[in-house]
Amino acid sequence: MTNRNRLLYATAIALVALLSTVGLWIFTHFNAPKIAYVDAAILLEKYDGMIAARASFQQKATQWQANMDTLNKEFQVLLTDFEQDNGQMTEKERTRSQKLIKDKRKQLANYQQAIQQQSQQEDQRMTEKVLSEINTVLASYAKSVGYDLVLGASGNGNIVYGVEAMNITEDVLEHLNHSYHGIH
Amino acid sequence: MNYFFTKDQSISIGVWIGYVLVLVSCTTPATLPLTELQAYVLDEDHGLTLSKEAGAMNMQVSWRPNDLLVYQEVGSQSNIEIQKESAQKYEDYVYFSLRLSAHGRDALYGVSQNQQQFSENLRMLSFGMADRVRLIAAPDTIPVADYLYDRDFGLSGTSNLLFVFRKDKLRGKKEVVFQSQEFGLNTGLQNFRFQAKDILNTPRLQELTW
Repeated sequence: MTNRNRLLYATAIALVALLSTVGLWIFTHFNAPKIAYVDAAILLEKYDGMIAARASFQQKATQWQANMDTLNKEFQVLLTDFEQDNGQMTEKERTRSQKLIKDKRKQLANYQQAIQQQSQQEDQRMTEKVLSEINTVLASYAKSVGYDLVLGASGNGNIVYGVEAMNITEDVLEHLNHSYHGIH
Repeated sequence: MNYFFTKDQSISIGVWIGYVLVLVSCTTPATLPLTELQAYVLDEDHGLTLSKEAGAMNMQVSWRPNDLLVYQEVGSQSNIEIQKESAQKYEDYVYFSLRLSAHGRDALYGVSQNQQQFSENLRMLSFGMADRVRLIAAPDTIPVADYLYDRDFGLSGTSNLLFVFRKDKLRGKKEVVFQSQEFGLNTGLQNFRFQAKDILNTPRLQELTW
């Protein structure tokens, strides 16, 4: 084999190898599933829908607390009156006042418990609604951009590491807030 | 044979007649009778009814012309003064209807898995929707002024709600978004975008005589 032929063979082999590599890269690039992840905690914290929901919840909670304070004050007044008048009361009056105080204390405890339960339920309902909104908008965003899989990093170790290029939290957050404000 | 027009003139006139016919057929009529106006509103090509699938739920939002509300109240037999008086009551507001169905059934019955969920969904549809729906006419947000959940116990196959919004902030806006936030039926956040030109081009109701 002449040197010229050797050179031709070597060039042909190199060309085939190069084409195969490029072909393989193109095949894997276009067939590989498109995956990204979002930081769920950031979405929840910065989504304007969540901020509005929290403000609304806070308003309710303030009202409940105000009711609680009123009841508490009434109870304190009752208690102070009783302590002041205790010495001058007849036995019958004392028994009646003690019963009144006992009933009021029970009312206060019941109300406090009910408020706590209601507050927890309301908080849970609010979070569920916001999560559902985030999920629908996220799904439509992922579909429109062409993602095959979007993972949610919630901070408790379900995604230990991901390159920053795969983190689409900011894009999703922008889309989410635009949707909330009716821009999308 | 002696023709009145030359061949070229005939073609030219034909093209013009065709153009005028197309133009006339595309123009929105000024008035329509009741059933045709109802059909016009429901025809999604006219941009007054928008639909979306959200999970198992089918959501359909329609802008409801005030003429239909006036007609519903006074009918066609009333005199002009009564019709105008009725129209005045509605003129400061816009109305949108929301129809919800799941698996081809009334949404309330289609998605509620148990008694507790049914009660919760019923409570939300009856009393809680004002907080979950709003109009956005950027940069303004318009809250629900009032709404009605027309419960028909599954007879129509959809849950029907009529929402009322004040009109003042809509003037001069090119589009308005009817936004439904999650209200417990897993619909998430949904935006329905209406164009002002579609609303303004809606024919009047023929039965109203003024």
